Formats: sequence, structure tokens, C-alpha cells
Amino acid sequence: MLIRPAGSDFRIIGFYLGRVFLVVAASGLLPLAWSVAGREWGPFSSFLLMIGVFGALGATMTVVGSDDQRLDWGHGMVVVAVTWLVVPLIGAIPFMLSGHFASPLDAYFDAMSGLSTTGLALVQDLDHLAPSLNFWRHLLHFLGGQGIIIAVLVLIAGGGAMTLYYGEGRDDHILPSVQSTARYIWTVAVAHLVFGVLALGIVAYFVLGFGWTRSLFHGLMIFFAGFDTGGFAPQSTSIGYYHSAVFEFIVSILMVAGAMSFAVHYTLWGRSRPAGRGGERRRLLLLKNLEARTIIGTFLLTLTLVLFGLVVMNAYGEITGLSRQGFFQVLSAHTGTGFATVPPTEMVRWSGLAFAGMAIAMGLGGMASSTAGGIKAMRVGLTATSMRQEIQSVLLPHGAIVDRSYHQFRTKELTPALARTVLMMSLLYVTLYIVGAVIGLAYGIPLQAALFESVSAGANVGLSVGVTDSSMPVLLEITYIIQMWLGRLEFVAAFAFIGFLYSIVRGK
Amino acid sequence: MTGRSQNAGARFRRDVVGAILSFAVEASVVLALAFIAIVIAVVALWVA
Repeated sequence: MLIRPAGSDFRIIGFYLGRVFLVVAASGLLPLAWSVAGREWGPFSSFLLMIGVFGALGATMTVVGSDDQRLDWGHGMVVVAVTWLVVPLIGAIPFMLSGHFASPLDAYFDAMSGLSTTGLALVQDLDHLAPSLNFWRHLLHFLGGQGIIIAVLVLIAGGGAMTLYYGEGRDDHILPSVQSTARYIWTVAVAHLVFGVLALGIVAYFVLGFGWTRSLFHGLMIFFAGFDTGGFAPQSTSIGYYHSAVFEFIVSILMVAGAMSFAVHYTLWGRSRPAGRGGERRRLLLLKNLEARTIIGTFLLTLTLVLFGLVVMNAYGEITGLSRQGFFQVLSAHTGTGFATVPPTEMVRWSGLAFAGMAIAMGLGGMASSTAGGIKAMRVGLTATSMRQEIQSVLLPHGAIVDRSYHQFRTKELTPALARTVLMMSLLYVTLYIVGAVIGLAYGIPLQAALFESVSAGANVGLSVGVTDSSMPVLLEITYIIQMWLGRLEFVAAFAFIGFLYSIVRGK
Repeated sequence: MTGRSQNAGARFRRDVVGAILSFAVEASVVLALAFIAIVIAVVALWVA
């Protein structure tokens, strides 16, 4: 029997939602300041309106709500799910008023795409968008990628930190408290911000011949979108705009860093103590890590498919163009970033094999607890390990003991319950991809394109073969919005929210 | 200098070294994968 939520449930959910909105209102001051510096008075007034709405809503909910009871699992999940629906809605106000979107739904689509670090875009005439609005688009990537909830945990942590943390699809618990873990995640981000913006800015200035301010602007935007595996770019031709192998190399480093779990970052930074036996350090143990091995294996597999596919269709006749375009596109797809050096009109002509390689790379995604989306390498590795163990148990003599261990920072046991959970989550992602593709097919979109775009939305990648367009059917647009939302929250918080709504109606 | 500020300084230095090492590893991974991409491209063109 479902229990109808009591007033106290709404009050605690409202209280934490209010806090989140206040943090987002504060972050809105950054593009506001940018618009003042650039004397962009149109965007300035729209940012002011957005901050006002976030601030008023946040203050009201914090005052009316109450934190006199502990935030339990269900409350936290509802807070996270509603946050990820409402923040893009209010955050889309500057987009709606900019005149660069055909409809309010298109503006919401872009805001959801930004926050969920997807990168599919419906903005029109991007090359002439005001810099402060472009900054806000990319800042949404940063807020979403680093986690709004993480920001709340760092700034104004409350008693229910753990449930909020898990609700955003994170399960790394690398430091004793969730707050210290959250602070560490932001430390890693800030270090990469300094490195990324400087490196990209220097290349833009010295190699591409941009001015200093333009170099830093592009460096900052591409950092936000690269490290948070988002995929927005300040120019409509994405990374292809820069025509620079060095620039692509630095962007590739940021994409790899963004797709790595924070536990791996933690180990690479050398914060972990020596592992013990023989003084072997944890950095070396990364080589045995199931997730790291899996993602390298699937990357090489999909890269091989794409490169052979491109050769079959004779897309590039020489090694440099073939390896450079193929490598960058597969890396962008597998890390869930969505940067492109190949325009959609060209990618749609790629052969079936290259298309399949790209779709698989997008669908699999990066590491767990990273900013990447998709099924995640950890689940793929555990599924493969589980299958291997099942085959072993069939082939070995009756009564033989099958080794059910795997290595992920330490040796762990792959229990049947864990295997079931992993398979269920993987199946949910595959279902999500198929549903989006079927709806695309219903609108007459060819199978390859419908599947490609659906996987791109559901896995929060952002690569497009041209289906995502301001003239796309409304139902398909809403489908992609829901896919981005579900994919980013890894289903759990979304399902909890749907259950909460159902209990309001049918509960007793 | 207090013990706490000494600890913070040491921690900051350790984090800076860790971050640089981390960037180096990330760059090495990209270079290694790019090299493998070139090898696969050569094989693919040769096979075709």
C-alpha cells in the first residue's frame, strides 16, 4: 500500500529545493556581471529576471519549508529530480528572451541539454549570440557536470547530504564525509579549469592568432564543455572551427579527464596511501582496475569499427585525416562530450560500420561517477565479468568453485545481487535508446539517424546527424528532453519522483 | 607559523604536484590512444 505524503514531507522537500534555487540564483550573478562588462543590456535584464525568479522561489521555499526532520532517501531523490526539471525551466528565461530560439520549448531543450551535459542544441544563429548568453550556456554545463547538488553540499550542507549525492548518479565515496568528497570534486575541477583555460588560451593566442580576450573566452567555454563532457561550443561548427590539431589534443585531454571517475582522479593525485604489499602504490593498481581496462578495451573496439567503416566508404584517403577525424570523433562519443570536427551533414553519410561504432561508443559512455553519461564502463565490465563467470561455471566440473572476484581499487566480489542490478541498469539504458529511436522512426526518420540521435540524447552525448533541429516534431523534442533527464539522473531519482507523484494521487 | 598553516602548505604543495602528475597521465593516455589510432588506420588502409 502506498502512503500519501504528509505536509512535513512537502516542507522538507521544499526547504532543500529552496536552498538549491538560492545557489543557482547566486551562480546567475556570473553571467549578469559578464553582461554588464560587455554592455549587453538585453541579456542583462533577462539575467536579472532569472535571478529574481530563482531568488524569490528559493527564499519562499526555504522560509515556508522546514528541515526539522531528517532528509530521507525518498525526499532526497525527489529534490534531485525536481531540481533537474525546474532549474532548466527558469534557467531558460534568458534564452527565451534572446530571440535566438524559435519557441520557449526550444529554449528549455537547450537549457536541459546544457545542464544535463548533453550538448544537443536548438539555438539559432549561434555565431552571433551575445557572449554573456554563450557564457550562461556553458556555465550550465559546469553546474550540471559538477553537480548543482554538489555545490549545495559544499556551500550549505545539511543532514541529508548522502541521499542528495547519490541522487545525482554518483556513488564514489572517496573521503570520509560526503562534504569532503564534494569539496575534493570541486578542487579537481578548479585545477583543471586553470590548466585547461591557460592551455587552450595560449594555443588560441599563439597558434590561431586570436586576441587575448577572445582566446580566454574560447578557452573558458571549451573548458566548461570539455571537462564536463557537455559538448556546447561558442561557434556553430564546434571544434572544427579551430582547424588545429594542437587545440584538438588539449580538448582531448579535457574530455579524458572529464570521463574519468573522481576516484581515479583521487588516486592519480596521489592522495591515497600506499596500498601495502611490497609498497605497491595505488597508481599502479589502476592498471588492474576493471573499469579502466573496460573503457580502454571498448574505446579501441569502437575506434577500430569507425576507422574500418570510414575506410570502407573511402571517406579519407590518407592516414592523417582518417586517424585524426576518427580518433577525435570516437573519443568525443565515448567520453559523452559531443564535440565535433565533422559537420552533421557529413557524418550522416558515414557508412553503417562507422555509424555503428559511433552509436556503440556513445551508448557505453565514460566511467561511473564522472560527468559522462551512458551505460558506463563499470557496468559494461561487470556484465562481461558476470558472463565470463557463468560460462566458466558451465564448463568447469560439477562442484568446482568459480572465482567471482574483480578488481576495482581493491578486490571485490561480484555477487548475484550486484550482477542483477548492473544488468537491470544496462537494460534500462538500452530501452531508453530504443524508445527514442522508435519515436523518431514514427516521424519517418531513417533508422540509422533515429537510433544515433536517440542514443546521443539518452547517453547525454550531444553529437547530431541533423535530426535535432528547430523544425523537429514537438513530441520528438519532448522525448529527447525526457531522455536527457532520465539519462543524467540514471533513472533512480526520476523513478522515485514518479513514484512520489503516484503516491500523492493514489496513496492512503 | 602554526602547525595548522604548515599542514595546509604541505597539503597545497602535494596537491599541486598531484595535479601536474594527473595532467601528465591524462596527456599520456591521449597520446597513446592517438598512436594506436594511427596504427589501426594504417592497418585499415592496408587491408582495404
